[in-house]
Amino acid sequence: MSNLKSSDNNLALTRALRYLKSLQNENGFWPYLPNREGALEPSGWAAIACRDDQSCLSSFSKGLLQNQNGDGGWSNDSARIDSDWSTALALLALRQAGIRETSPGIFQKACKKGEDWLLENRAEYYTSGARFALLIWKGPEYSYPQGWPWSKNTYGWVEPTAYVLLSFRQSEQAKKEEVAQVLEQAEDFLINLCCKDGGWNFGDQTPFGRLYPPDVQSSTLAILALQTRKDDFRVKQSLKWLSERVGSMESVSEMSWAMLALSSSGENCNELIQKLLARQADDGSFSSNVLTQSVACLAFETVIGDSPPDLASMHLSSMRGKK
Amino acid sequence: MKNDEEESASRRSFLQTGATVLLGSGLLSGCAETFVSEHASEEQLAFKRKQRSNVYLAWAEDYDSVLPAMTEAVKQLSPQIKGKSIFLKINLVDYRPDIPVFTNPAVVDAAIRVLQDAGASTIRVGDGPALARDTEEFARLSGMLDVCKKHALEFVDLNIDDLQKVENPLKFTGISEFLLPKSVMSSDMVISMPKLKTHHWALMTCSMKNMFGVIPGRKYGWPKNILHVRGIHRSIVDIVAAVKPGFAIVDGIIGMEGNGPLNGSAKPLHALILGDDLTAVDTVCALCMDLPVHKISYLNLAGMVLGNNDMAQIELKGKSIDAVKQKFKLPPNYSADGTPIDPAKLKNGAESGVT
Repeated sequence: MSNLKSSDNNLALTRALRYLKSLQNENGFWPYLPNREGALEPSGWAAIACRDDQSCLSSFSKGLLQNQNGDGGWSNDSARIDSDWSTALALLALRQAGIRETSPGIFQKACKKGEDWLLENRAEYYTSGARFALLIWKGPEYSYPQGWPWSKNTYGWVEPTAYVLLSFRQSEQAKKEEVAQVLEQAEDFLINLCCKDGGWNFGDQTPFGRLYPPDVQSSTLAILALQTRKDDFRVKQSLKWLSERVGSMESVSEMSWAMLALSSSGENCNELIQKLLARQADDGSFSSNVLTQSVACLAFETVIGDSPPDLASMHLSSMRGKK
Repeated sequence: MKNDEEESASRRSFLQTGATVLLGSGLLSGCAETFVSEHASEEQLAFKRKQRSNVYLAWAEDYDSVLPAMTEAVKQLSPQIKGKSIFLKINLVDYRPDIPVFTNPAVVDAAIRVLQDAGASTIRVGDGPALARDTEEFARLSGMLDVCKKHALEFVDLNIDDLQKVENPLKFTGISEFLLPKSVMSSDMVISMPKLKTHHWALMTCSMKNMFGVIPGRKYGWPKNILHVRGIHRSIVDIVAAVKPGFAIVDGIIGMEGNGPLNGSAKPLHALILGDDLTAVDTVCALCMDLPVHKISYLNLAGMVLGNNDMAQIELKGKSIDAVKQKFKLPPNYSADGTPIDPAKLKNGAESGVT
């Protein structure tokens, strides 16, 4: 077995991060693809991956605060027609930025507004008629699974729900009983959407009347979000599914997301490291997709870093030495 | 005492049974769409195409004979291509090695060659799959990236493209504006290039339903739920009205019948269908598949406000429909006359219908 913490691997990570930092736009955001408009999804992950670079982070957090909508949410588009699922990812990233600030009040206020928006915009799993039937059938104490949507006033799905769970990891509000109950319902929601043989897809096991397979990215997010229930057999089964897929993976995106989930769960990632290294270009890139590059950097760090980030708790900044 | 797995299985069974019952009674949030007849306002009716439509029905024995068939069809239809930037909206819904779920790369390859010969200034190819996130991997596995590389063209993942606001002129969904991919909206002409299939929720998927793939996942999610909850047929019509694709090239050489768009079986039709009006193209395709056209909600609505679904208004060139027509098996959630079956009465019960 090769030495995962070798200088070659460290050099590969340094080059990958350097490439990622070079893609940051002037407004502090990162685009999905080089030389395009910035967007919150790649930016959130890139900011977490580049969290040791104060310059990168300051520029991003400034842009992020400026882009918070009046209702407290964020949008994954520059037109900002309405707040959406990316609010949870914005909160994750904002905490990484805010934790270094000397006057954190403004960050705390922005986070609180964002959290409030999320708590007000959960998705209903049942129609009002069904909820009434459940009230009669199960009584007022019955707590049914409930997740979050991609867009307001639609149904709940796996990834938005997973992001919300992760975004509340470091939240003071999560300690409140009513919020804790909401988060527990979200965990139930994810557990219920787990595919029959493990893993998660977007959130429907039979979208066209037949089983639809799990997806690596959705599975990773759900596994990270459910680290509070890591002993649940469905989480274990999902990790097993992911491990078994590694051998056939050829997509850099799949490899990066899988490595993030497996390394965060203490699984062996040697094969994935080798496969990813083989795909790194001379400029340090693993992929032209900035989201994939960011996740690859983070996954790499999780495996080879001296103080690997704890993604399950989303307590990241304090885990790595300041530069 | 039950272990975790047994408890989970019984809970899952309970939820599925419950979901079936609730679906049947319309209580679960995502109910299957049934046939819907729409009312259109004067303003919406005024949006409809005024002139007759042109459709060419070409015979192509297999994918080796696509190029001559398409060359002749384009020659006969003479779309205005010269000097225009073109976006080819292919159907890359998923990758299945064993069944024809996506537009065959040979058809895309032929289209690029024909359009380049016709003087297109630039051509881009792309899609935004609704269920899975790794579009690039689908494009690689399907052979679409190889086609793009061969012609030095850009493949665009529409789920993550830059966005621009676009007015929704018809508003059947109640949405006043969409955020749509710039690569699509900045092109002079959008060409819809679907695979011809039956569809679990829309009965048929062809050049109009294919346009669902321009809805960007980065904003509306996976699946594109904001539209599905407002009715698939209304969404299809709204999207086509907003994007205004100018031409369609349908891969009906090997189509799909049964439980499409992902779980059906191959159905060779040996047909390549092209035209300048997506409503007319889909109408001809539905007739070639021997589907009950009047049961396809989106086609009825499109015929009112977008294009021509009346054969009297369609100039059909090439082969006749009868020369090509074959009976396509319907999805299992439809009765023989094309009426959707109540989900609660289906044997395999738990269908959410929200995607």
